[in-house]
Amino acid sequence: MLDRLSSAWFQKRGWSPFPFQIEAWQAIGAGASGLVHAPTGLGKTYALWFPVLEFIQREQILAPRDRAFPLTALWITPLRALAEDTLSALLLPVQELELPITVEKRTGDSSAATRRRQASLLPTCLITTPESLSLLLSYPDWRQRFQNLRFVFVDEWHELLSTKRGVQTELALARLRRAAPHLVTWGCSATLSNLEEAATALCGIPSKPRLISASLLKQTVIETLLPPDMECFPWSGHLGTRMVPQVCAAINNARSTLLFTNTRAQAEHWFRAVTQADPGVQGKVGIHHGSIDRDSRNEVEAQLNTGSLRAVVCTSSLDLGVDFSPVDQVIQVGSPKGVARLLQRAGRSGHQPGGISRIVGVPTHAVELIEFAAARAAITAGQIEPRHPIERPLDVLLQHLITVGVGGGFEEEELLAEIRSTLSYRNLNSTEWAWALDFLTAGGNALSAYPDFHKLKRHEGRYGVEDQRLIRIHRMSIGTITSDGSVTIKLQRGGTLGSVEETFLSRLKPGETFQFGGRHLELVRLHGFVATVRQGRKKSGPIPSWQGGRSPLSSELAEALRLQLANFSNGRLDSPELTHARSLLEIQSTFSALPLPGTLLVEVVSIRRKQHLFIYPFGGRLVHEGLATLVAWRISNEEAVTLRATCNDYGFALEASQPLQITPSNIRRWLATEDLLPHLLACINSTELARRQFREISRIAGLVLQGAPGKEKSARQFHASSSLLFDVFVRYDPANQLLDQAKNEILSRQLDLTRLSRTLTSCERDKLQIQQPARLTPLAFPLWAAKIAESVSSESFNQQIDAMLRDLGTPSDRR
Amino acid sequence: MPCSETLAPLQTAVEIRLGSSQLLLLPEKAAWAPSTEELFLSDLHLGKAQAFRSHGLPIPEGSVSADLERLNRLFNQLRPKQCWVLGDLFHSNHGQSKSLAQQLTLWRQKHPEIRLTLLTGNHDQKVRHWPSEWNLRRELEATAACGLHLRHHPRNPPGDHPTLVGHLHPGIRLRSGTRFLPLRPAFILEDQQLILPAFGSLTGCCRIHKSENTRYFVLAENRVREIPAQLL
Repeated sequence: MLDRLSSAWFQKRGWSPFPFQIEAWQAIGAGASGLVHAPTGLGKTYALWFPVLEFIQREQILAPRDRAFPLTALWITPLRALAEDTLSALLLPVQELELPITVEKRTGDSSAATRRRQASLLPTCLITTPESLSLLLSYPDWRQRFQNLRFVFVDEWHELLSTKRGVQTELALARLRRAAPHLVTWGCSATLSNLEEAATALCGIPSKPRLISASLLKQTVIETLLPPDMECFPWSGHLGTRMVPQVCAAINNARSTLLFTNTRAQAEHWFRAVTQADPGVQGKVGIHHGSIDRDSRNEVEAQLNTGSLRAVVCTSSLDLGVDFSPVDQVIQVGSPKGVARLLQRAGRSGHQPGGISRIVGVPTHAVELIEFAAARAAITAGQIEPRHPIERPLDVLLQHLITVGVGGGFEEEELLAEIRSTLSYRNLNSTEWAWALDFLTAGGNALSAYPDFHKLKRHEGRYGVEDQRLIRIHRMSIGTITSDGSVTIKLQRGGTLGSVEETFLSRLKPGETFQFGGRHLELVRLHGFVATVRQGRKKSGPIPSWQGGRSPLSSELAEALRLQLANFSNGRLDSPELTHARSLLEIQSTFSALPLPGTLLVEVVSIRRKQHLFIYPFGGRLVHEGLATLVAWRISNEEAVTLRATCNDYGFALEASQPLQITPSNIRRWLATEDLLPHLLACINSTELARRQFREISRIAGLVLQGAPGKEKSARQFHASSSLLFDVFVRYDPANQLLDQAKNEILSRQLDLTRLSRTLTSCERDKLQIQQPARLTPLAFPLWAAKIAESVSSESFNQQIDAMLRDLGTPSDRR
Repeated sequence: MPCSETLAPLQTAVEIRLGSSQLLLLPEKAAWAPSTEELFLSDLHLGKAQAFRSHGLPIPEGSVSADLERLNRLFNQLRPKQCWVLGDLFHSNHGQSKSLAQQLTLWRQKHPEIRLTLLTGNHDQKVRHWPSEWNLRRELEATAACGLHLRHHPRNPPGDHPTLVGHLHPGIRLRSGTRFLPLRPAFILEDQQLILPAFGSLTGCCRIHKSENTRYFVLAENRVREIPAQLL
């Protein structure tokens, strides 16, 4: 009987269920938990949803009721924008089958009226975000309201998995499981190489999650726009606007196009280039990135859905989200960066089940051409990146403890067991746990307790929060997404356009024009964190750049790229990209050598009487930043020399003020794995980096109030910058565990220590190949041309001022 | 005039003229008028950590004693006749406690001979108790013996009269090409108005942008350094 409902419905629509959908229906119906992984657009939603419908139908037969069922299922989505789409997908069979089920969404965007209605009655299925779920758990009556909960589904779990939002979700799920022991947890995810770990994070410990895979692979076709004149195609650069005519032709040949770029600034550049090159498409091309105001983005999404836009230039802001059925072409500008990322983006087209995903690669410089061939080979070979969950972040734990304290309080042992049932905190030790509790009850200084501090209070063995004001503040600041010192752009006649970084705007004078969201805006005034603008008269001006968001080339793709080079040197030119890049690779191997797998290529070139050292470990930009600093530090420890470093995804370069002794043994010593950690900590200006990392940690841990601005006017005098707090903790509470967390996060996230040491290990193992080419090679050129020296400075503040003054040509000291 | 060998902090100071007065900008985030032996400082925000804690933000204590200790060192080295606080001695009434009042009384007893005047700032207005043991005069505006006009809030635009003010917690960010340095506290001299950096260690910085007729003096580790406007 159970399967009849779904098959009947599918049959009526002329569909037939996929084997993985049937498998999921049976597994969920049998009460198992697990993870469904399949490419986007393959009907994952219905694979999860029908068991709920069947459950309700059965209950209805057993005990008929005339009202809708109470809260039975939760649907967690990482993206608010996705909620609307999910809502209509879930409602479709409900309405046709006339079941007593209500489906509603609850996100940060929900109106006050919706919140009030849901406060008295929750729907049968609630679609929500991790943040809104935590917020629901912060009301003391949550247990009662969730008592009938049977199913919880997490959509796009791979997006949450390796973020603090994922950890927040793990904690919330552990909470729900305690209240509803028969809870069934399912997630859906794109393909990852560590699916079992992903499923365990979702279902908790101990659990035996089922993995269900859509055996039919959605076919992905990767094509590359080949530069017509390879001889003139640049060896470096990141905009790639030379390819604009070909891209415009491609846009005109398709009904609708998503044009993905790697950074927000690149999206703005491409929007400008495309609309200028082809005036015919003006008004038919939109722009979409994370700094553009939500409303404008929604509008662009809606226009794309109705087909009134021919193309949208976008960034990772459209990596996941609404199903754009009309999109029939996806273009990737610049390096694909990762195999999974390219697959995800390709999956945005051909969104009907069984459709073919097609993505067109647009290289911005010569080596990227080969990256697309490498990505294609990696997809065929199934080499896809893993995403690992974050290991027990204390800031998220502190926030969760307050959420639980606000939401009815807790007993210590019981909550500890619950928290340790998550994958992230399975190894939470009793010192960390005791510290976290102490920090929230007594203010946490190892030396003294503060009588005036009372956030979490202990009362007859139960911890809770009593202060109504603290409860209100906490509910306003739940979440792990932090926005940093950005300036809001407002139109003079009203309306918000988005945000840019303060450093960019502070360089502009009122009256000057800049481009944002594809519009030309004239700065009227900058006051605090609000920039007032009006429509610009001039049609030019600088484009803002945003920090961050630049992901490094993944190990998997780097490996695949080197395999392509090996193919080339073995004469196997089996892709159009490789054939096309032939002249370039021949120059590289004639001047120097190809960085083949198993070798470490080092080039020494003298330019304008300065020695340049190029090393190519293919470890990705983050790793090279760390390595360049490390090697520069090790060299300057041996001799008096000043080194400037630049890096990219393939390698790094050091410019030396005096010639270095480049011998194999020196190179080996500079790249040794021995003493890696102490040397790394010594050479990075660790406190400055730690201070930056502390920004996010202090907000999540509730040290900095983050509520809606203006709501709590009296709270203004309790705002302190995280950098100030960092200094206070370093000086007066150096044992604070959040400081350690900041250091660890730098090592793991900013320098990617795991990959860095893996890269060094393979450097040690690889055959060393030192070349002294007469001129810059295709690999060396982009490193030499990079204007921004991406080194981490180890100079003191005064030394840095001296250097700046020297650049200005003024005497460094007027004492 | 005090003799120079006793004045270690002065060697790292920067000398400026404001009106007819000679002023030394000290790396301790205070200004010194040697001719009249007056010390100027602003924005201590005492009791801030405590005020934060009473609002559920776990901030460790230590800054009050550190700040008063820094002040003691300045007093012992310079032996001022008069100390002017240009507002915001306290953070808020929430931060007021018996222990803070006692701490301040004890500190005041160490230097009974120094006249202490507070130019009341916006934060001070919320404070209800002002024990007489502190021996503290409160004014809204005043003129120092050296002739400088004193107040808490800066005037915008700065007037013609040489003035010392606080309130802003000014800081600057140095930039040259693609290099950026972190925001650091600074003295800002706009025309005839000198804005002092916040003295308290638990105070933030407000970034000051480049403008005309302005000089910038940044706190660089243990020194004060004038910075050309091109680097802002």
